[in-house]
Amino acid sequence: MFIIPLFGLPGDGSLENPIMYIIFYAPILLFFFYGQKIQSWMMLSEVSRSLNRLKNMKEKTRKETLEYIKNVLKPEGDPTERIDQFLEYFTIMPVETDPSGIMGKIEHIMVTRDERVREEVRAIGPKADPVQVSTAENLLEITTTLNLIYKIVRHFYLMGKRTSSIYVLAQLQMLMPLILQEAEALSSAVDAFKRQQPIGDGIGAMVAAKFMLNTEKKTIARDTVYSQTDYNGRTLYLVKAEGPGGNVGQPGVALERLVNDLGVKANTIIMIDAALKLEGEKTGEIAEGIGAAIGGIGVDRFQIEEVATKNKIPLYAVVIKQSIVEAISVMRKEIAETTDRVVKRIDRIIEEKTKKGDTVILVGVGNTFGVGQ
Amino acid sequence: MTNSKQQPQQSKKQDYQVYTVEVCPACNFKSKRPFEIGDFVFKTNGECSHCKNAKTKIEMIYAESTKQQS
Ligand SMILES: [Zn+2]
Repeated sequence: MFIIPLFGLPGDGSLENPIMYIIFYAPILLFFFYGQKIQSWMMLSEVSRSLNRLKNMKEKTRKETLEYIKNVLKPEGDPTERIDQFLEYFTIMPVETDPSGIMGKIEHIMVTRDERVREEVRAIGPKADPVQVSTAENLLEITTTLNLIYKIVRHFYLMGKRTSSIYVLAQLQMLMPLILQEAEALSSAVDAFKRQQPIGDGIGAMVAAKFMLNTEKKTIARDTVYSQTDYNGRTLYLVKAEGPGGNVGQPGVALERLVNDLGVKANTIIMIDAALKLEGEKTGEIAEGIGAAIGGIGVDRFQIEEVATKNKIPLYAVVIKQSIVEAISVMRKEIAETTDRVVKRIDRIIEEKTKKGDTVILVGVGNTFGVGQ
Repeated sequence: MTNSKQQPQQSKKQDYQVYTVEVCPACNFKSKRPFEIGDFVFKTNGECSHCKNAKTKIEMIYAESTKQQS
């Protein structure tokens, strides 16, 4: 750019000087032949910067998890090596090419995995109470996930670098903002988890807990409680994960047992859960719909749909919108304050869809960190 | 480039304070205080400071942005 005003424009004779000629055309040729190399070099440096941020997040989370385990669970020896081994723990999902009965297999594997994590935590801190155990479980899960994300990104980064494939790097660069957002959400969850504060995802459990106040709670599935109460002339069965530890419980199993084993003749099932909002939607917006409102790997949704279909019970859903970051960090005011409005919605559904004397099952879905019952 | 874009997001994360809202079931007196470890929603706490007739219950725990208040 500075060449042009200093040495004159091409065509006025200044380019007849060979040195000027080279200075003027060399960059053009350089970009023409090595443009892609330069571009991939720039991509590499950008991806490498993001990779560093991932690494920092991973390290910070690992450190905080270790600190929590050391200070709260009070293990006898140094747990660092054991925790580091645990971060490499993997789960192999069942074969999908023969899908019949796959949900049972997935459930079996997931339950085994959860039990394994819990045993590990109990072995490290035998004197910890259930809330501390669930906190450590959740912290370990975050650390393991961040570790995995970091390793996968690093894999593609190194592969792109080694093969100098611009396409591998371009894909990585395009996905990076989304990956970083997810990782940031995970690492911001650590603060809430360490202090056992309710997270945005817990709003479903919180609404169910409100109905459960002053009722007798019984365990019905792993980390899951239920209770029964009369409400506006209907019999109301309430299901939620057991708080205030960070549990999600097994709402699917709970519903199966209620209907199949305890013989509850339900006329309606209502599910309350947090749902991911789309960009532009307001946090704390309430939406109503049909179907099993529950996230996760799909086991619980499958079980609930099975029970509902076999017994022809209509499934209604009420969801509270929030972003992924809000769902796993401390519950925002906008979300906490929706409780009364959600209760009003449920009142209306019960009023409109059921008669006096009917039985309604209300399932509050979500991580019940910092939410009692 | 990416770094400079994401920096405000990181500082935003710290701009909130977590509060615990307690309600007395007898006189409906509401009080809001900073969160303390051990608090959880629907936990029964000490005697109501207002009517001294009942024990307060934690109704909500939430994070509030400190920016909006100032
Ligand atoms: Zn009072």
